[in-house]
Amino acid sequence: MTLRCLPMGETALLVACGDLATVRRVDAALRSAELPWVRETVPAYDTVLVVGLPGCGEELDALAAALPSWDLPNVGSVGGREVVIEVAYDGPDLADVCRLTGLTLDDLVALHTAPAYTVAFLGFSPGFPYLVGLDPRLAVPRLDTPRVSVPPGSVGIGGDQTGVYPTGTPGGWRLIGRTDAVLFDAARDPATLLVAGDAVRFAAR
Amino acid sequence: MTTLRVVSPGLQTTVQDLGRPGHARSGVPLAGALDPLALAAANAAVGNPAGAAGLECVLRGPTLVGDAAWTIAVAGAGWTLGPLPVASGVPYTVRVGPGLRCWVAVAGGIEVPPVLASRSTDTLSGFGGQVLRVDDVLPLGADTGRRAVVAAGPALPDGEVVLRLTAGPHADRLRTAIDGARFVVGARSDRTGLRLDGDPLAHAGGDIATIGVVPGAVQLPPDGRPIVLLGNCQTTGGYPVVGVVCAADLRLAVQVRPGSAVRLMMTGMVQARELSAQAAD
Repeated sequence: MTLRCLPMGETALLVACGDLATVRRVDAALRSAELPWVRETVPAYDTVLVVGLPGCGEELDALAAALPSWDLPNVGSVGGREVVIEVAYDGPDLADVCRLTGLTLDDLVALHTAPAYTVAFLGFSPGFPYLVGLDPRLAVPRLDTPRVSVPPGSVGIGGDQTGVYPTGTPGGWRLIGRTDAVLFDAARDPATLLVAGDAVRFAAR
Repeated sequence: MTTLRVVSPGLQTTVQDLGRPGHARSGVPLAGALDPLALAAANAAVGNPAGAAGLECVLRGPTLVGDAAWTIAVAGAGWTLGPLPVASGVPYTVRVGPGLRCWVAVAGGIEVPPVLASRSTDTLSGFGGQVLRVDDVLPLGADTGRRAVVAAGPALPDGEVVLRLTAGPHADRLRTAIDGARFVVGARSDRTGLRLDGDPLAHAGGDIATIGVVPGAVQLPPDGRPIVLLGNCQTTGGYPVVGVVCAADLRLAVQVRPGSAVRLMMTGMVQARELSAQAAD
């Protein structure tokens, strides 16, 4: 897959990578290059956003021209930890999710705890992990009306995604459980429980 | 140590510095002053480093009283005030207009405890800094004693505000020219973004995989009514980004009051960068 560099304003560049594995490699290459004018990089599902410092236009254009021919490192082992998150499967939308999927509660828990999910990236709110690996049988539509505030630690399913709400944000996912795991604590170092590339397993308690 | 007591907090006054760069990959918004150049100018006027924490005020400013003499400078839409000495025990009320917001610097800076190396109030995530309340006491740092006269930023025009955009990664989703499209700033606008009301922009539709976004990015939700992201926006978003407001015009975007008109206009990257370079001089 050829990298495509798309403009994102005067001081940022969106690198379209095609897939998550290439995102990981491009992100690692950019971080190890330690370009002094780059403020930060923001990986997502199939893109890496490169955010530069004010006045970095020339450097940004040069990077956009050069990046497609960079040698990308192999990063099979970036992140790579496995984090187990204990979940009490007693969320307010549990019965709805069983009804929508046609699954029994036991089947739902078995399917949700089976995979090793991959943290694709963090975004939406501090410490929020975008996980890939949800069993398609668990996919359910989002709520018609999002909750104004989802309790921290809520475990939910929205579309073909699952995750844990770290802080009391609004949210439209259907809540199937809760965890005591603290996904974000600004006073902790590191502040986030997870980083991109980690594996997550849910365990019923 | 000099402290300021909040006699009246104003409408929505928050402690802000230049935000939390470097934490976007953890999902932590930049936050900070919505017009960082204005805060930096006010800080320069009272001898502070550009990133010292000050106050961001909205519509109605706070009333503050010091337990010793203190010095204030304020920067708003096209105007600055100070450096101005204020005597101990004498209440001082910050005037915000013209415009929607202004930034207050106090000699020595406001030294609330930093979180992730910043004193900015992240109004979206609800941590860091401080939202001012009656009788809060704000500790000040050491005054350098330096003072400067600083230039004002851009003023709001009399009529509608024109926001110039460079093409974004999904500009090809637009099915109508964006040039001249007129909108009204919606009441649900806040530090995360301007919600624009008006005739929807025709677009090709379709979802995108979530991407990293920057302040200034113009998202186009399915309803065709654009959202201009501001400094406290989420780090990632799932709507197509059709353009990015140039940095020079983003300073005005944060000053447009709900109900006022804005017009969108495409511009080239070279022109946008020239505007920014002029602003930095």
